[in-house]
Amino acid sequence: MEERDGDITYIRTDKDLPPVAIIDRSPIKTRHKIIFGVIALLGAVAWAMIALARGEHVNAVWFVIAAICTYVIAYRFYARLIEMKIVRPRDDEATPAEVFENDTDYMPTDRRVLFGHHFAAIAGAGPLVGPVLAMQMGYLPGVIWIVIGAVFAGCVQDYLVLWVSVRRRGRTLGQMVRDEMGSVAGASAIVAVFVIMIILLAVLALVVVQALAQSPWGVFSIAMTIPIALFMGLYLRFLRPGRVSEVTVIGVVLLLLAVVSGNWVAHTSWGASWFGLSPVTLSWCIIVYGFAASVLPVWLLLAPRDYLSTFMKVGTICLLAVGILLARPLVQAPAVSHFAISGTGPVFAGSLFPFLFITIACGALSGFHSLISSGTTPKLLTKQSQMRLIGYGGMLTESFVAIMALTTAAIINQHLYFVINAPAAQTGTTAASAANYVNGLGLSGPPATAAQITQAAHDVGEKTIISRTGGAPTLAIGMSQVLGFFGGGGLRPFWYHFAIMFEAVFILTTVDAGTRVARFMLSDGLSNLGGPLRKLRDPSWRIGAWSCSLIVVAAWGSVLLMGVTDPLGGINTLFPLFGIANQLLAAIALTLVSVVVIKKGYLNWLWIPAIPLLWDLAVTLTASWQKIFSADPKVGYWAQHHQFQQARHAGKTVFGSAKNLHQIDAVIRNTFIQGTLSIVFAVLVVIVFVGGIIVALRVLRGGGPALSEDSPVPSRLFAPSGLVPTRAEREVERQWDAVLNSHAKSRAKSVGTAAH
Amino acid sequence: MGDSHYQRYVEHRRRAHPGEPVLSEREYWKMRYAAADSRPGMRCC
Repeated sequence: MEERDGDITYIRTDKDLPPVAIIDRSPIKTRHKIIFGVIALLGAVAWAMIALARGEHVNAVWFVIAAICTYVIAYRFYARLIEMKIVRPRDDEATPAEVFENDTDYMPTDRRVLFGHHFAAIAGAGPLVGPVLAMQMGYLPGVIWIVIGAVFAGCVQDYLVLWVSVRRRGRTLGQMVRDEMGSVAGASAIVAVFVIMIILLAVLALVVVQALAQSPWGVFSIAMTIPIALFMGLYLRFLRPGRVSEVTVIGVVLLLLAVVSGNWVAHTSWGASWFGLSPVTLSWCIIVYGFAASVLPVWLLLAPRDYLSTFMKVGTICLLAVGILLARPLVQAPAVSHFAISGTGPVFAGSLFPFLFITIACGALSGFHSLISSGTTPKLLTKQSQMRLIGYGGMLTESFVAIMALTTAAIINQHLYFVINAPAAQTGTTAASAANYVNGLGLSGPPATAAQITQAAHDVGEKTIISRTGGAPTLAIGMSQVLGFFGGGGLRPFWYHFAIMFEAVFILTTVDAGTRVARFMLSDGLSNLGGPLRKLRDPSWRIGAWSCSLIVVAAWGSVLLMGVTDPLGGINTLFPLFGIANQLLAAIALTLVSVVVIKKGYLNWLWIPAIPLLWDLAVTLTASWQKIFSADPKVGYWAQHHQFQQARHAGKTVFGSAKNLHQIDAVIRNTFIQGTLSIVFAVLVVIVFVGGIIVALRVLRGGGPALSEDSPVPSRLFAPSGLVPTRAEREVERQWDAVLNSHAKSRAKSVGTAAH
Repeated sequence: MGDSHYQRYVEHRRRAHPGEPVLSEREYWKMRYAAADSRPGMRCC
């Protein structure tokens, strides 16, 4: 039933109830035209300031302005185009959350709350680490890729995967690939997701290890999150169930106390010996923690830690944004460094194309989001028209986080940046050798001295900052500069360790949740093989849960230990593998979306998912190709493998970064594993892509498998689409409130009579 | 962050399954966490 009021159409599914959908076709108002014109102009000025300024220091505020203006225009116009031409939301149809509401995983959730959930689930350490590492090529390529990549690739992927999943009861990526593209592509996608997840967990754990090793203050504050989470879990279980906000506030206060007292603990003799752990010991601690989190009940450890990390994530990011706007720091990094051209930078090897686009995955285009956009979020969505806010808007927010991370790395003294981020094999681990090394890099600005490097470490309450690779310490130093605005320089050690804690908390949240998810994927996959393995389908079978957890932890744990002990520096060999893996997952997701768009017959708009897909394939397959076939041992895993093998056969005991025979063997083994993984990833993705092409061609010839969409069910509830409701939406909400209130009253009356 | 979940659950039970028993808040959260035990939510990078 439709009724029109000017440009606005109201749709009812029940004549006795208020409308469930509003279609607003009003043309754009002059006032809005002016506002968006001004935003576009301001954005253009900001971009010009960033791109054209030469010789003087750019103010970091321009990064923020350019990004926000671009996001606003993209959200209003490009996302709207995608909505009108591809998504075509039907608010008169019920979403999976409404149809299957079951009080656990399917629940229609307020769009603002869901936005927070979705953002907390997609944004982790990725957008903080990648942009920091990419700073070795200068700030300009990073800023452009983060903003443009998000607008045309990342957000499009997140939005459209959400769309595909919402029309299929919130099915997961692997299931949808199988349904739409056949069992071979489906199986490859599921295996790819699993292997990629193992790499993700290993690399994130490696980032934490690099940030915490030999830092008793950092280790103490992170270690304290475990007893705090246990306390929160017990509080929610036995004392006051359901008081989530209350217990989270208590937890955050305790956490801040832990960060403050960490300084004192680190200076006691027992604190220094208990918490000053070597990278290998620390890795074992994280491996044990990951296993424990996977087998313990979620209420005890995982859920309360998740509350803490969500709160910290949102709070700190807002704080950082305010800090940048207030402190307005000057950018120290060049727009484009000479490493962008030569491709010989120490942080990661390889040329700008493809490796910059690999290094910054999260924040621009992150395949992992497709696992959130399918699976969890669609089961909580109230209205189809809210997908633009959740899917596209959520990713824009993550892109903004990446811009802030990039800003913090850009405002650091560039010599210091390379002292922190070059592998130990180059810097030599003493202040004098590190100063010597970075002064030879040909950076602009006055050369660094050993005293400055030691002082920089003291300023943040650490013993050393040399070769603290992985991005987290760099970000923490940048953040301590920005947040030092609140309360002066004396608080910098606090803010540094606060930032380390903040990153480590949500990396560990990804590690514990990811281990658990991977364990379920593994037991699911194995149970499909049949025979006695079918017993794995029961998640409460302890032996199955323990052995699957053990396999998962062993898989990422061994890659983690490999990275920690890698003579070449683990981050610079493993991070590209992680970026490639992440974006190959995006290729799978975008292939699925493109196939669905073709099947729906929206061929004129196929370019919307196809352009990011082809770009992503060009980037990831070029990078994979170079990692596998490049003859340059700095770039190619196999070239390095053969180089070290030859050195070993020639009887050498010292070769390149390897200081002894043991290290030469380690390099030979590590490059073999990394090279093999590169091949596996690329082959799996090519299988899925070719599967997509075959299905697409069959559909275009008029055949092929049908769409697996659910048949629509009429909706019986209403909710606004955007963050701020329109006038018409407010009016309809009022009508619904009136109806629900009168029902509640009549029910209360009948309950009352029954009692008499 | 979940504070209103129980209230929503009670309303949903009344609306969708009138007359059937409603869990206490403690039981409700036990049920929620038990469900989360077997269907873990993914966290991204």
